[in-house]
Amino acid sequence: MTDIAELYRQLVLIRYFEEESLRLANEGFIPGVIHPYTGHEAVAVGALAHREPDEWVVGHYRCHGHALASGSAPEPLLREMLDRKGGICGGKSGSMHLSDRSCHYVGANSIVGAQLSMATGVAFSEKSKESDRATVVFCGDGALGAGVAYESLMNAQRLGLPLLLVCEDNGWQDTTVSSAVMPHQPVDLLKGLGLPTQEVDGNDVEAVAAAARSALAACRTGQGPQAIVAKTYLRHFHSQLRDMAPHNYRPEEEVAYWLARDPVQIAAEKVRAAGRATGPPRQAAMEVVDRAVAGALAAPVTEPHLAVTAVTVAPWAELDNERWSL
Amino acid sequence: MDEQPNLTMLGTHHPRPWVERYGANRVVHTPIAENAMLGMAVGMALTGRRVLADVGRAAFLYSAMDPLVNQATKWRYQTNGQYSVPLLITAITRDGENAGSQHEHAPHAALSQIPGLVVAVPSSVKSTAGLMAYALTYPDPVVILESSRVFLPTWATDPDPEPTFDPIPFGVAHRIRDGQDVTLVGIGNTVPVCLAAAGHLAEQGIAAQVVDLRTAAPLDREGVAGLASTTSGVVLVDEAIGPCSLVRDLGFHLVTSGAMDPHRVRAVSGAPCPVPASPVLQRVTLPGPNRVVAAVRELLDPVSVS
Repeated sequence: MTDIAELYRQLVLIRYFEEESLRLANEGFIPGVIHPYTGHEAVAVGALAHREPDEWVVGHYRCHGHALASGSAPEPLLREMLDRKGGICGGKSGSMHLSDRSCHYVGANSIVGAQLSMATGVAFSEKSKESDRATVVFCGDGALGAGVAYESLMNAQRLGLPLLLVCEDNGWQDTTVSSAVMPHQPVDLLKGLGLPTQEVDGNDVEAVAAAARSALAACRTGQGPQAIVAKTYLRHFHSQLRDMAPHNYRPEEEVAYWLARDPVQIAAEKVRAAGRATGPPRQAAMEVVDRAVAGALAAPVTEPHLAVTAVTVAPWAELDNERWSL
Repeated sequence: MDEQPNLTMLGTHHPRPWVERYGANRVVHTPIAENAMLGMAVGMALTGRRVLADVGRAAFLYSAMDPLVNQATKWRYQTNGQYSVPLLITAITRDGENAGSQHEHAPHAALSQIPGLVVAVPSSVKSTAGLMAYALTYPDPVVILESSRVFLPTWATDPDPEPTFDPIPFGVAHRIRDGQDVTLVGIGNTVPVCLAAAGHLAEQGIAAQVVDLRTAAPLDREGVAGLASTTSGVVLVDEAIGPCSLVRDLGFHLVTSGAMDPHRVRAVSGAPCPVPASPVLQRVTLPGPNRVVAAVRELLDPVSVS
């Protein structure tokens, strides 16, 4: 997928979905925590622009953009986040653990770094099937501080796994600046561990797509794991609980610098530079989100009886005097 | 391995003939990194493979609690059934090794607090094989806690309560010795202890029925209640410490279901301390046949024991 207008549409889809999610959270419709993807849109869209539809995607809790870029429909995601009937995960995931098997999205892991070990297993399945398929795993720069990240990258290299690691480096891990707690930049760390690593402007969707195209090709042709470090920035913040948006915890000049380098605007300029119109793709994306929001808000609440369903495939016997009931 | 082409084994050591026979895509050597091993096992299980991950010892399972608790036993639930996780984890517990407190653990009760996780604790060679055979066709995560006893050179001299190597279903307690006076209930390493105690009791004219729980989760409370209520009392024996243990769960059920009078139930547990390496120290911390016999005597005739 290299059509800049289509890439722009996907960026707007994520941006507007996230802005609507924040609005709904601020109005009290979303229980729990949300981690907005605003600012990172070009990373998910670019990384998956050349992905085959049956290539698995694994990610972390900042997952709305990953799910949408994997092809997941917006309304079941919103119903999940709003705790309504028809949520993609039946109300059990909420915002942080979205998953959609129908578009090969393994799902979001809320344990930092754990998605890397899971992704090595997914990639192993593909390699052992000789499927010529890559596996894409997203992480933040903070995840590279986790021991399991090191272990997983060692396994991936030794086993020659077709794994593409996309590190969304926004320089912060929650409210801590990464440079205060990590001795190495992600690109240096990954290269030092032996991974072929490209560092790209994560706010330029075409740059990310080009890097991903070559990295995916390398994975698919048996060249082992690859890494992309996409330098980007969160427009809002790490997360908010319900309607409680945090105050700004980052230097104002830093925030202003990055707000001025909006990946959606950068893509819009490229659309216009290509002689195309931004209106139709923008409108199309916003209409999809508007319909999804309306559908989610109109949906009834999640059904309580679902609480004890889908724990296991095999049923467990219950004794009469110990049967749990609503 | 022959019957299921999708079955893949992960571990830090494998018999060389297995690697040669099944290949590196099915018998995978992993470094000493149990956390990444189990995470990888989960990823494989989510995408079409059945996986047997041997973490070596139950002690090393603790390095991998995140992929066990937060990934393997959560992925089906938190995706509302989109995925399943056919994953078997094997780990050695203890007995006869004197390896000390960081290497010897019997976490079957603690693991039973993870909803949906099968925790099997075989007592012998054949029960290990039978529970493993069943686990390898089971659709959900299973942990089999193997006794080191069955790997020691003396394994052949241990009593084996199972007649065959046939698959053993989960959640079915097994009466392995008949007796009408008292019921002894054990799991894993306390099963041979109960059998030895039953032998001593027989010499004293007391006929003890012995029950092997086989799985901590699902726990066959109803089966135990049915068997225990045919006798005058029940002694529940577990090597793990008493608090939040299987024996207290079973005791509660036996009494509240009406199967046993509260005065007819006893529990024998391990001492409230980590496992000492010294054989002398370890012997006094574990339920041995003599402690079980004493519990039976006290149960059947409290006045006579002083």
